[in-house]
Amino acid sequence: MSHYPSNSLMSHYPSNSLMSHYLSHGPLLSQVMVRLCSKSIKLSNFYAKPCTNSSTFRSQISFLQNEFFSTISDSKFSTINEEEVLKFSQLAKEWWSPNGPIKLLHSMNPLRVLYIRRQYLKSKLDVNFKLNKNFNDFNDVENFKFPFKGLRILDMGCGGGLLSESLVRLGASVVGADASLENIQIAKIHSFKDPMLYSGPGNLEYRCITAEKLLEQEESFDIVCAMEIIEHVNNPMEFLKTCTGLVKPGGGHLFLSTISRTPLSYFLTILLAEKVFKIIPSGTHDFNNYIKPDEIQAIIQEIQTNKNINNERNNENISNISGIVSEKWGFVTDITGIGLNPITGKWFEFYKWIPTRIQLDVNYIITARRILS
Amino acid sequence: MLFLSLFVTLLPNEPNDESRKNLENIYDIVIVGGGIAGNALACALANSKITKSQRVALIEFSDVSYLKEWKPSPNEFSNRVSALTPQSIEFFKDIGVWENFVLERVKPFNDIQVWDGITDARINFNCKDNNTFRTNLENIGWIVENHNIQQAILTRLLKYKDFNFHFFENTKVEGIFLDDSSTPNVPNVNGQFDLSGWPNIKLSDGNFLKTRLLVGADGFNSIVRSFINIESIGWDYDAHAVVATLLVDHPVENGTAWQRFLPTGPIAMLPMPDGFASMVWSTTPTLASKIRTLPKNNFINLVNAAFRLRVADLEYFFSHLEDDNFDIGVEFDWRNNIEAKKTKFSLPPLVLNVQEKSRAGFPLRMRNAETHTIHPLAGQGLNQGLADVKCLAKVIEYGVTTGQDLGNLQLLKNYSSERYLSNILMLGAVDKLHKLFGTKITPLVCIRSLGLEMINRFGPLKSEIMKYAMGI
Repeated sequence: MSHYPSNSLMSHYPSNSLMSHYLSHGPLLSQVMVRLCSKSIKLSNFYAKPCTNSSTFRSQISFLQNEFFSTISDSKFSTINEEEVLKFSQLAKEWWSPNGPIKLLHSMNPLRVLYIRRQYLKSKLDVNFKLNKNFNDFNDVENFKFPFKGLRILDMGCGGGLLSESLVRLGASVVGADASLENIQIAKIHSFKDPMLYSGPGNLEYRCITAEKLLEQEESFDIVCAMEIIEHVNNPMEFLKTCTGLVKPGGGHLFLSTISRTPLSYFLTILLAEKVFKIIPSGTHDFNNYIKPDEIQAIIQEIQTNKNINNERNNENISNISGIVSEKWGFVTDITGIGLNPITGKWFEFYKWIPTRIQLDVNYIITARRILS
Repeated sequence: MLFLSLFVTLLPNEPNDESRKNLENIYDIVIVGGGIAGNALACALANSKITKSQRVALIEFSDVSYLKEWKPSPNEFSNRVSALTPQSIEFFKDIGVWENFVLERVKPFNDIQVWDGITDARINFNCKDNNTFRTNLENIGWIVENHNIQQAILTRLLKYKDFNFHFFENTKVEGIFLDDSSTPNVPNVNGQFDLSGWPNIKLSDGNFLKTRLLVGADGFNSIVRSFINIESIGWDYDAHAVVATLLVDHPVENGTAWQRFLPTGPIAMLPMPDGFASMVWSTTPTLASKIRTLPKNNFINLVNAAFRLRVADLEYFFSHLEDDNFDIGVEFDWRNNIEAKKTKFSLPPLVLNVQEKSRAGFPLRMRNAETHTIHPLAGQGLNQGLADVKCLAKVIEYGVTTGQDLGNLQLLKNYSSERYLSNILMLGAVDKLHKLFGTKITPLVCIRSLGLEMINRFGPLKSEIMKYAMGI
């Protein structure tokens, strides 16, 4: 994902541009990338399968199963594997350093978790209000600790796993997906530093996969997050549509955060941040890929989905409804501008009363909800 | 795909006994030091809906059973007292501790008189004075015995003991170190967790704790601080404090805290219930040890003199402290008669008696880091510490709400950035005051007296100073 200059959603990049993109970013990265390309067969591929059935803290810590992929011809695979892992753990260190090249994302992360948490709770309360349920359900300790318990969340473009880890700690079952294998390795290595990520009730799975592939596999999620990623893909509109397709029907959420295409956003995110102060690596952003919030809103609200209705009950009443029907995907429920306080270095949400023309000029977060049917 | 899955290595599903034991001892937060600050933090965490589910361990090396059954005799007060500000009281109410205070032994005060020993220039803070406070306050502060605070927090804390909170009493921290042994060069190739960044705490009972966040609340010789190599900021003063519990002249108004700045250091009288008062007299080490060991009668009269007589008279007394035949009482009486006619200010009640064995002395330090031992002239050490605790608990709550790793530096920066300035300001201000009032140089004395009088007449400034001192 965007969090690192070399990340991209590869299906949108032609493969040779991806290569040159990597090679242009410093000796360390390019070296790794070369290794990745030439020795990719020998790379280990870890993934974790946590147990979810145990109840005490101790027994909840499950041990992880690793799978090593290798070729028969390479009998020394384990030593090469160690080298690679060492390299990745160095990269992981850099990626996860709060003062490293992506420090702005580190400081933004708490705010976006809070935003997702708040928006999700709001819609949950709305539903229960309609169903006339007891509000106190949401005040107990369990819900404070695990507000996302039982939810399947996709963190599209997870990078080193910044958002994914936070969501797992809050009880979600997270799939962190990133097109860059390097990022997935970084994320896996870092996730091993915290047993809580594997102790339930949530679980964590990192996959090196694109959004399109996930859609092909007919995956679906209660919440799909595509944070700070749209501005880095080649075809934002297509990407957006793919993401909406991954949201579960019947009230699933889509969270997007990106940068608007305005003179101010050019000035702040490209001129000041990249060129003058060099807070983020130059070339991270492409102004042409920025999207205005009303453009996103228009796309989302125009999307039509095909719905298969073959409900027998309906047949009794109205006979001809059965079959494939096209219906609206959903609607945008919230757009909030966010900003960085240059003095404290902390991100903040704009107050609701600030005119949208001002607050949505640079960074913003959008909540969209698939229609309740 | 280029990957060919030809064979798969599976790790054992069951951890071996060694690693199982290690995981059992994993905590989210470990607090070293069960003093007021450490206990208050544990209490705040356990009391909050958000942080309740965190696994917390509190380690205290001493035996606290005497606090669990704290049965003070009604006619005796401890000589170690603290003045709690409204902010601290509010915090205690929030974390459910205030209801456990033995309230008969707590004395609120709504008036402070501070004056210069040389010129009698005076500043007065009073709740009823509308110029001073625009907020509606009943009390400026509360004088509480430290034991009373400790037992109140402990009583509350023990209620939480069986949940996620573990209290290691009578347990010493033998060492804190980063876990090198379990740091393989290649982390997690073998499917082990990589806890190399987590502090390990070795306890005297043989336990090893691992923690995400280690909080040192263990005083100025903190073992936690030496582990992370923080230099504390502060100064050692060439000064000692003498404390005592006094029995004072009851009819005189007793809701006032008195403080007089003498060239050798300030002397303060804090009101206590039932006509008792607590005294803190900071002075030179030699003088302090003499004052502490004076015969009872001479001590009482010397304290009275310190609040009422001129500095020259006091110095004369000081020079005769070792003379057993010198009766301060006689000297005090006739001098006081002359002074009493001149003074137009209210004075503290006369001391009638001193409680047996309540006289004690200790050296003064002014330190700042996690620990606060601030010169008692502002009485702010404990209150600053509690404000720190409150802030840290808030930061931890925020971290839990947003699913962050509590050991994350980014999260903890919120704490230090919020508290550091406040602590340094207080430390600096108290230090300047100490130096300013320690001098006898005439121009300085004139300026400081003028300053005091001016602040006293200039309501808004006085109000700001007071609000700052009270933390509101």
